[in-house]
Amino acid sequence: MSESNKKISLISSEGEAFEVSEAVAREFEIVAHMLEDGCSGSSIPITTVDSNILGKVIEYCTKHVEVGNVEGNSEKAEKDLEEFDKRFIAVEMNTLFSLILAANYLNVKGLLNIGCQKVADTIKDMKPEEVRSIFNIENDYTPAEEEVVRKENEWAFQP
Amino acid sequence: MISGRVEPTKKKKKNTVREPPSVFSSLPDEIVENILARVSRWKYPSLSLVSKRFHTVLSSMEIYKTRSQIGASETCSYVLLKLPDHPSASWFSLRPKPNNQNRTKRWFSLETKPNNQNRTKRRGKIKFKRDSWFGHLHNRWTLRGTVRIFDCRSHTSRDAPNMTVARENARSALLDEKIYVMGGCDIDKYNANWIEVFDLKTQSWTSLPGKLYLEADAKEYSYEPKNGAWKLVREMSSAISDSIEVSCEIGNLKYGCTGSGHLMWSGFENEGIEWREIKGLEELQGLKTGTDFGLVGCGGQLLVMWDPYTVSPFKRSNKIRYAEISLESRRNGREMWGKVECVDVLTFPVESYKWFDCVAASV
Repeated sequence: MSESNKKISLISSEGEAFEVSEAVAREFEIVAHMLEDGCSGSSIPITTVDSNILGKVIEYCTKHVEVGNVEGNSEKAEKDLEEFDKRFIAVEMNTLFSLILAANYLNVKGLLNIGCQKVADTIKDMKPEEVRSIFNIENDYTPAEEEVVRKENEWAFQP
Repeated sequence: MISGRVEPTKKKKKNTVREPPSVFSSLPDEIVENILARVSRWKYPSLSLVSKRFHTVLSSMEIYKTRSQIGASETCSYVLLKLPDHPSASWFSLRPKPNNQNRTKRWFSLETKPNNQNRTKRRGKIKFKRDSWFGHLHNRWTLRGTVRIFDCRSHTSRDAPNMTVARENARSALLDEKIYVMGGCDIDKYNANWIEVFDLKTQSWTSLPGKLYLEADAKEYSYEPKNGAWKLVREMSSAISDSIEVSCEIGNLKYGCTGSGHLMWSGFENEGIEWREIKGLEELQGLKTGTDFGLVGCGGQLLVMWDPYTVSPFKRSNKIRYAEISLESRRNGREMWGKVECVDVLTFPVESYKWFDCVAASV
């Protein structure tokens, strides 16, 4: 692959253009595939992702490309990247979901992983009502249905 | 037996404030699954109560494939107790107590509904394992060899097809997606069926397709299934009087426990298995007094279980003693040292059991 300085514009759902280097754009696997399929246009519409989230995903990919390009000193760079990831996903739940959705659509595997892991870590020790509250979802069980689900897993509710 | 108490939950009628719809609802199922696959499976019962969608994702078997793909599988240990006058063996899951300070474990009874159709009168000590389920072979009083399969994902059991011959105390081995069951029946009567093979792919039993080599009492035999002929191949030089009775694998090493309670280890050498004693476990000597014991690898550690108080095989208790042992390879892998992390007793909510077994699965 040739190291190119080519710039590519990613267009958000609001029509805002984000100019990024080809290397960063290629972190979006969906874009990489488009480029490989001979899509020569320099602007690519990302219609399902809004400017706020697209900006963040670009920030994530830019950082990862930068660190990937640094030769040597890998241990420090890795630690640095870990710290960056941690800060990057320390956002409120709806933003986190939007990031995960975007990462899934654009096929940015690293971001998808840390996003899903963050949500999992957040809910792992929560009670059902706490999960509903932070996910902003309703309990759609009737008391009778809930009892059936409890019965299914009776073992886990032993005193 | 055990009645899993269900705490009646007071449902809070909460008038939810109308908020914009949650972004969570717009996540496709594969993402919800990707998230929930990363949570410990022991939390699934509680998380299933969040909403119907949670329940659907968590009860699907697909999530266990995802757990394995993203490296989120956990090792789960189980104890199987055969209770007197109880139709089938009862399963218990073992896991650390919450807020575990002294690493003790507690049990959870998994099967609350006894299955009367599978009356187990005799024990066939066979177990096999594949991915996340176990088979246990039960010999029924009638002359059918029945096999029960316990699925460690859903914690349910089902019947596998019967063997063609009923067996008692047969031996088994799992090799290349096939389970070989040997013996436990009259060899003269069932000459051609002395060994049966269960194909996991087709879920069916057949008699042995090719020649088999067996090692017993320091002798190696070959068995030709076509005519049922046995032949002595060779005699080994040294007989091990204190033979390995139970074994398990952790990583690429094999661990075993001898009849007298010595813990051994071995690599997988080409020339067969050479057992060496695990060092540093003097404090465990003499703990094994009963006839039943089990050994499983759990989270890189060895979990050893003894039936501790057996005086006679007819007098059993409801206790199992166990030890958790962490392992360290020393001298460039020539020695294995064990450290006893804890020794404790599990008391089961039963009067007494007839026998126990233990298994571990990556779920």
